[in-house]
Amino acid sequence: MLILGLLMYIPLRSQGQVAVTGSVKDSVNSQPVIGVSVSLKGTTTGTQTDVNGKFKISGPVGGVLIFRYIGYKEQQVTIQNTAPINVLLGSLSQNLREVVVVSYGTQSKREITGAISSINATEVKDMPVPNIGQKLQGKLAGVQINQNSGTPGAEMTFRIRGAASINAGNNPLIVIDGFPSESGLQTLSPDEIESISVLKDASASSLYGSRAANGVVLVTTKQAKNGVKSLDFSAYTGVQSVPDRGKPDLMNPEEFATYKKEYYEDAAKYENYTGGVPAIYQNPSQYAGTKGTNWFDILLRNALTQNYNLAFSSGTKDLKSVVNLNYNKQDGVMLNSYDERFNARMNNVYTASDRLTLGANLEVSYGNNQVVPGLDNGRNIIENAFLMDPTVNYKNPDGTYPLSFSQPGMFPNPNYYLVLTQIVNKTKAGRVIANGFAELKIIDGLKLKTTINVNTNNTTNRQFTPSTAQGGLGSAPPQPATGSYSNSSFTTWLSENTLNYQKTLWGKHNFDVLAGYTVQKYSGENSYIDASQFPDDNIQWINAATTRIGNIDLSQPANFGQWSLLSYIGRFNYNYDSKYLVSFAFRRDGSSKFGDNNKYGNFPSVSVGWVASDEAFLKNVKPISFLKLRGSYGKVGNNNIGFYTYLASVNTSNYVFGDQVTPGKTLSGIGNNSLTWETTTSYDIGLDLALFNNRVTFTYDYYWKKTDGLLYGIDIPIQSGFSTITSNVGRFDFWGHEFTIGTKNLVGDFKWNTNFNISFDRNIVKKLGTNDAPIGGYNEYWDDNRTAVGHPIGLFYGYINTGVYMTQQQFDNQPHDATAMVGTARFKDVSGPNGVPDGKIDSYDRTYIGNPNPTFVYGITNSFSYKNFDLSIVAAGSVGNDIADDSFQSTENLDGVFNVRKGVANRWRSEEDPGDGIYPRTRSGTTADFRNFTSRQVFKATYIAIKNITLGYTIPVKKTQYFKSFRAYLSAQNAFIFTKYPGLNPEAGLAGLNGLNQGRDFTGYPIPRVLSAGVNVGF
Amino acid sequence: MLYLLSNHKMKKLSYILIAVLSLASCKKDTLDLVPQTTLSSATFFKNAAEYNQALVGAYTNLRGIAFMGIYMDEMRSDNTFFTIYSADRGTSTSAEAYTEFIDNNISSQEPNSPGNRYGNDYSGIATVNTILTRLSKSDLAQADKDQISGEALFLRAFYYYDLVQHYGGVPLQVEEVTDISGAFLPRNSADDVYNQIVKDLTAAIPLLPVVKTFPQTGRATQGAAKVLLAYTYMAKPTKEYDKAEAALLDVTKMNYSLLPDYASVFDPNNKNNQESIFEVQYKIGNDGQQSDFIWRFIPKTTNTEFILGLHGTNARGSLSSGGWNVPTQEMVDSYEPGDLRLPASIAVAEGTVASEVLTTTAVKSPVGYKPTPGLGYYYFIKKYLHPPYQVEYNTNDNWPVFRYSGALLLLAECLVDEGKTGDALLYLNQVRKRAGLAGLAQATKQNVADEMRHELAFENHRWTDLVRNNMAIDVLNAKGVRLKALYGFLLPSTFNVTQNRLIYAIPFRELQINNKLTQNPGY
Repeated sequence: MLILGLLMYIPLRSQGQVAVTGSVKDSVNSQPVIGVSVSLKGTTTGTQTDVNGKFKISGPVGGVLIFRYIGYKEQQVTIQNTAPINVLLGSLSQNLREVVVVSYGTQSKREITGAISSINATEVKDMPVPNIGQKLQGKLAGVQINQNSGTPGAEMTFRIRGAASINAGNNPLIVIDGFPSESGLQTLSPDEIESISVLKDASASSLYGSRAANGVVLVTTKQAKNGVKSLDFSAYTGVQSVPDRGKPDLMNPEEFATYKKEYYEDAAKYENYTGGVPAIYQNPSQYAGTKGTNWFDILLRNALTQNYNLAFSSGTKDLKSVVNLNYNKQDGVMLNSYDERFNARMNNVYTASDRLTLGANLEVSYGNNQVVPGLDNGRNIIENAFLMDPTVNYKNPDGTYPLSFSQPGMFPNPNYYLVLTQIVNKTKAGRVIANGFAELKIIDGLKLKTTINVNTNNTTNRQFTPSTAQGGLGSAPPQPATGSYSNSSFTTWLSENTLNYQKTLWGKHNFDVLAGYTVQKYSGENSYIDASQFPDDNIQWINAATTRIGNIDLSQPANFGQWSLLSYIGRFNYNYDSKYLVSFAFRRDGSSKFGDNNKYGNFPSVSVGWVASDEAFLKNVKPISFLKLRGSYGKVGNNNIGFYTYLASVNTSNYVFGDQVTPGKTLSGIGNNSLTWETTTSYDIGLDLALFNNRVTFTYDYYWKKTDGLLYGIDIPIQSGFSTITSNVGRFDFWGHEFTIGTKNLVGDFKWNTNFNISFDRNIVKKLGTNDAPIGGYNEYWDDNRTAVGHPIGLFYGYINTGVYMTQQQFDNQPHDATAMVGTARFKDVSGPNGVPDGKIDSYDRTYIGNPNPTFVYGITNSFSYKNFDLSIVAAGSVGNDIADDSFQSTENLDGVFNVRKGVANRWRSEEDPGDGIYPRTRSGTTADFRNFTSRQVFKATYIAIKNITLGYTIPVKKTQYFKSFRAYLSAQNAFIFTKYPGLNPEAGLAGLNGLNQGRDFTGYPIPRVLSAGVNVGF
Repeated sequence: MLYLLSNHKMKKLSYILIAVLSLASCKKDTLDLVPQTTLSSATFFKNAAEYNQALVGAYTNLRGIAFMGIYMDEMRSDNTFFTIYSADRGTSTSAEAYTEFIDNNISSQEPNSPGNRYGNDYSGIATVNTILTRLSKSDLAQADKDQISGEALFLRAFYYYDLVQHYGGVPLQVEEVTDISGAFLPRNSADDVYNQIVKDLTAAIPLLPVVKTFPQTGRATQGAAKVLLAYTYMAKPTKEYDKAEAALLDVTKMNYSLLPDYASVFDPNNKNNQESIFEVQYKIGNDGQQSDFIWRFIPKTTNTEFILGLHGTNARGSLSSGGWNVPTQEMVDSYEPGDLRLPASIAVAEGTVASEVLTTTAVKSPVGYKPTPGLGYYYFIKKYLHPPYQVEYNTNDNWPVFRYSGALLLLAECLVDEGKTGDALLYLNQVRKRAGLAGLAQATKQNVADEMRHELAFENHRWTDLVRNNMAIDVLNAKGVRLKALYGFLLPSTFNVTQNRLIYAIPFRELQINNKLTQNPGY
């Protein structure tokens, strides 16, 4: 109704005026400037220049036309007559004309005072990957992006400026076209993205208030440009394969049979074992030269990946419209996995009048995914498979498959080839992201904008495990089939109303003021039905099951429940002659997630900038094209702590009386009415420098920030009845340096550009809980990281392995624990209950054995072009961090139950045959020490990866009515990786880049190398 | 015409527009969202029904104790051991460590451990504390308050008794913890804890009902409270046998009696029977209330259907598998000839053994059992075997805590300790008679303990009975000598049973977090 009402105010025509035409060009290179705002001073009449820099406007003789364009100096021309008016606009700076998307708007790069990294999607357009995150690896200083898993459809993990929290996560806020939406980056096609801005410091991000502490990623989708009409088609197809580097170095059939034989011989010698060596291992030489089963490789394949994109864009004065259609399918390199996505996006902007602009962006996407669950976890299909006895065959000579294996002294196991290929886990998702806005120019410079945004997602998941694939380590099929069917959906909507006033006073005083009010609400729902006792494998749906049990899944709090956020925002930007810049921003957030005592929080920031190169004393220094100094201070928050954490909920806790189920309830924890967001306070000082007529650009930032009031379940004594109480205690400090250098090494026919960035991020834990009790590292395995006061976050914590007690004398003279004896693993006596070594090995001897935080991360992109050829090479790397290979816990298990690393052949067998001093004996009851989390499992993760190489050729086509342009390219993604880490993926991390549990490799879904070919065609 | 409106009017309209937009979305309750799927602490504890629901919740921790008692009480004692499963040594530092006496301060934290008994007890205590703290400020009817606080006090006493028996003097938390500081209390002495137990039970007894009809419901009764009180007087450092005797004599006047058939006492069809004083309740089915003991007690076998009548997987390397709590040969041999309790409590599964897993071909009685040449065999606990079953690990068996026969034997023990051996004999022989055994002529500390061992076998009493009677160190060292001769896998360091091993280590995590705590000696 309101919008209809507004439409009635549009002036339909003007009277008594002359029509003026003209053009606007850049004063230096004489190129037409597109999209320059041309307005008649003192009126609301206005237009924009078209693709050729031309404009047409009506106005009275004597009226004044104002030409404005971001990055250029404003110019005014008086209408003399109907003669064309040709304007040469002088830019503010040669370099920083670029416009960058910032919180609630855009800003010329020159005037930005916060720390923002941005990238235009065209710079990364040819990488054969379905997720924009993969394209951003190594591109942005201060932004660490890791691919933790090669699972089709998996999200990348982001960590901006080392952000870390204990429970609230460190994922940045993803804002798509101004809308903090819930569908992740994975749901977008990279082809529909125009640009990405990453807001790193508090001043850049404080308008996102209680959600900005981990940084903000602003994604802007493509919009049509005035006067441009284009139809573009692009496609690539590629083959993915898993490189051999890093696959576990396990025994072959003969080596394994020998090891098993010796295992039983030693058991007979030392443990009164009388069962003899099982027949199949008595003669290991029978396996000489046989390959047996390579249990890793049989699960892998070369897989296809493909992407097709068709985009139509048309911009006229009244309507700018883009339609982007995308289909992407990635088959997984592990069998029986794929991810398929169809995106349709339409972005429209209507200029209803010179006062009113309406717009709508609509994206509908459909995802279809099949991946056997749990592939990234330890002791799942991948790891369980390669731990199998390599002497057995996964496939019978007649082409059938054995259902299970039960080798002597080993667990009963299913045939993991069948498990991987037969389990159904289909996820289908329908998603909508929609933005609608109306912008009304109230008076010159004053705009009211109201937006409504909606993001919905509806996911169904169906699982079925047939009887032949049922089971795992320790339980072999056949067992009755199981299945499930689940449904989850969410809706989030955002209503924003902003007033923006831009005004220049007295020539050089530029003001830009923003005020707004926003409300966002989220609600998620789900249900599931578990089905069991299927009579057979014939029907895969739950209707065939004998038992079906359904419920709501509350285990993933984000999937069920609601939150709401009600906020006020304000920003005041002022600059004098684009030289002295200052910006104040403020957000006040009210959130349903927090206790009654702390419902609202304020997030202010201030930043200043000084374009020193415009000062007289630098103007004559020729080499310096541009120099800006920046500084900022601000506060932001992190509210990701679950929806109702401040309340102790009352859980069902039934019991039986009189042989009847009797309803019972129990408190789930201790509530805390004072819970509130984590606050990150940060400083940033930065410098932007351009030299030699912009041949060299350089950006430096130093930041320091503290995250205070960390929200987490503080460990409290269990004597309270609970192990944790969620509270705002804890402080982490972070600081770092970021450098970005861009150089145009060669210009001319042969062009060579280099972009290099490097980030040094540091952190330290300042305060934790009541007694500063450390987080994590309490158990001897599967609890590898410890976060403790005075140390960096998430260090590896365990025993220091010092080899083997080689002789009885060594054993007697050296500290050991209760299960140790001669020939078992030896550890360093680090401490005792009193803080000094006590001659015993026990839990007090666990210590810090590695640091998963990198010394620095860096990326370098070289792009070359010569005539019609172009080549780009993207490399990224990390230096100084450690990684824990948790597969060692199994591949160095000496109980004879798993295949093991080749080195185990050199283990201790007797004082006469003591082995290499690395591997201990197989004596039962003594082996756990060796495979517990120790320094043996910690490695340097330093690596450099050639993320992408793309070679393109633009085919010179004559502009016909069919083609405008044609380009073909070859691209290699994840081309090479150079590292001493013995595992597959030095970026692996079961918990992603979560600071507290980072750097743990469970041999997850391997990351493929992709070789692809593609074309871009313009019509 | 509207479009002729002046700028001034336009502005005015804009203000109205902003106001309208703001109002439309600004509702005061926008930020007040509460979970729709659960109640929250803010709204609970309003009426007697809700207090009773919380009370029901306080009983559920009994199940954790029954479960952990298998490893920490029965397997720690001379009654049972486990069957080694070489394929999985992941449990060796936890579950197996308890029975081998090489457990340490982190045994209860290991991923494969039977769980944290310490935490489970305190969880029950916290539930009770919340009820009692809030009840005292509530305006419930006196009758409701009496019923609720009677049961709640009994449960708190029960959990503290479990703690003090297994960990020594522990921190006494008797108020609801509502903030962080309330959670950091230091340890109290064992005497303090026993005194609190006596205090709670003394308060609870007059509030609790004497059971009149059977089957009972399974709620706490005066009888249960008196048996617990008697145990407390007899276990504490300064014994008060006279008070224990009085409490137990009261129990003998409370409608309880021995069932004629020993085996029928454990039949799920006889849950909460006339011999039962207190038992942990379970119910077969899909409500999540089932027990699963028998699935853990039978051998790891490829064909569970032979013993249980249902195929399932129990031959794997975890706690939810078979091969735990296996009666030792010495236990089998210790039954007197003719003791009806032996075939009711233990059976033998016979068959072929491959990689320590049995393919069962026969289930036999242990009475006069002779192994079949060429076949392997394992003993298993039969008390909780009551097929048929429909779903794996889903059974209907309750877990006995206090039984009338146990109360009679405890009374006999008490009387022997007081020197009244003649009186003791009366109660001792009452139990022997039901077991099909001839009466003894004399009651001694040893023969009362032996009787208790067989009468309450596999009910998680043996370990604490040995400790209370100062027999644990000798008996368990002897067990170690026997088992080491049998099993080469036992390390030299196992079964070093000393005074320090009579209580367990306070979990390492607790010491790290609460620096007011101290560790038990020897850990």
